[in-house]
Amino acid sequence: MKDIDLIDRYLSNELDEQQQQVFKNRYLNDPDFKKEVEAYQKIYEGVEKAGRDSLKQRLEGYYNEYIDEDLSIEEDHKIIPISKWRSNMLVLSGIAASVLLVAFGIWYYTLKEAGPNQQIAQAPNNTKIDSGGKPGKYAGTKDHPTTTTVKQNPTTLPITKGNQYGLTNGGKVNTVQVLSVLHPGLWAYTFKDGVLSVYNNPALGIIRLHVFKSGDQYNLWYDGNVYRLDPSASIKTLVKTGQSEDFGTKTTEVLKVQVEPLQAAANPSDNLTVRLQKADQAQYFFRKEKDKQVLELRGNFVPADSKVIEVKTADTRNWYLVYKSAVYELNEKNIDPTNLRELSGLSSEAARLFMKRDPVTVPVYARK
Amino acid sequence: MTETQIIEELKKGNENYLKYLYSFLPDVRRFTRQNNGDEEDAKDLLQDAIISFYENLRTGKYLQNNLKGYLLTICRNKWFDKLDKLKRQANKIKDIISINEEAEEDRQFEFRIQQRSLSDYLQDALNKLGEPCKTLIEATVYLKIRMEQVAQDYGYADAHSARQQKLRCLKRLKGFTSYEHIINLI
Repeated sequence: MKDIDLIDRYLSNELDEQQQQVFKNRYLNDPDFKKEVEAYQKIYEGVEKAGRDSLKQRLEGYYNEYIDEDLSIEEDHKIIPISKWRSNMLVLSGIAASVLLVAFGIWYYTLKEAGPNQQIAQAPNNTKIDSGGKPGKYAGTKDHPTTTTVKQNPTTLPITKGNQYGLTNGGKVNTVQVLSVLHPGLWAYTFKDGVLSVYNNPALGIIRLHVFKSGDQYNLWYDGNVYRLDPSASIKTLVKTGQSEDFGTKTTEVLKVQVEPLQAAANPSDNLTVRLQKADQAQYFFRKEKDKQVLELRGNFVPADSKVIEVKTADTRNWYLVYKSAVYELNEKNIDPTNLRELSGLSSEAARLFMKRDPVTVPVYARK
Repeated sequence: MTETQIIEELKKGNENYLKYLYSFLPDVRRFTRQNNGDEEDAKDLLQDAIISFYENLRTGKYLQNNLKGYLLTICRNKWFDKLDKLKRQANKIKDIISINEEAEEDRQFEFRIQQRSLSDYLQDALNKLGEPCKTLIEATVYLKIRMEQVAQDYGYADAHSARQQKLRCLKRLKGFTSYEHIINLI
């Protein structure tokens, strides 16, 4: 306890010069003490990172509250005539336009497009949807060549409901629902009773999305592309109708937008049989049974709340277990019992694909 | 809700008042739009600025009286730092011809191999530790709130007993891991 006290004071910068010298001498001459200090140093670093990361996550929630409630701050102490900051900005933006743009603008945009995160975040852009002709057909792009056949019905995708496959076959062995989804897949939606649900684009940036009306026709605007929105209770693919920088002016009408997680429009699959057994330790492994892939799952999972999801990309396939709001990675290569590893939504892009997001209220714009 | 009220609430730790700070988003958006950025950049910038502000406020380092100017200055500095960094990166990889393919490979790699980070580990460990330890450690190690303040906010008799509790919690937290384990986390 005395050591912790000392180490804490050192890490919190509370030692005076003389105490620091004593501390240093001991650190250099006592290997056990040195290890102790290093371990605490890591813990402190980790607590700071974890604290910041979880604050960041909570801020997403506060941001949604801000969007929902349309909050504002009243000025209470003084009225700033013209913000100094803003007038500086005008000068700076002039410099930025001339110097920054010319000097490295091109490189910046190249980088931006090539950035590793962009591929997932901008999934719908890779799946080209023909404007009039044949929705549902993939136009092969450089990044995602057309090598997979899409089994989905072009205009109406089947909605997977509840646990129609989550049957219990008695005793301790249960069947868990298995789903399969192509990612990036066709961007799709349902639109009824003032709620727009968007499927197959779980990383959608809601702030870049606007809904506007031209006449009675609702349209979706995303990153300069315009898509037609027809009232529909079943999932329809989104059809691009053009491009525009303009989505009109704000009206008083509002809509709720729900960005659905990847599994929401996934199809039931028989590529895998899941055997669930009750156990304290959450483990899994894959094995072959008469040419059929079997996933043996152990743990305290309720079958109705468990889904095993296959995510196919152009040339890879990954398995995940989604249990309530937790996401676990399943590696097909593991043929011996392996502990289940939960993916954190903060550090794992894959986990974010399966997370339920809160609905967001957005204004409807009107365009002539 | 006025700025003074919001700051008073935040000082007390009523964190959900942070949502009001997003009302500066249109200003940040205007700035990024004029400086090669988009709306998503604006949201990220403001989020980072809010975090810096909140950390400073809780530690007692926020001594200004112009919240908007303060947040916008942080956003501006962060944005120009980022542009600088991108410029340097761009110079470095000028010779690589197929940037697109490289990035695609990186992404695939990232998608498959998910390394458990130090942050994730501590998040789980703090949850396992439970209350009051979790809050106490977050308040003192992350937000670096003074012990006197902690004792007052969380109902300890005095700074000394709050500190003793903190050290006990830290010892338990360290008990969850070994030197070899934690030293290799990044």
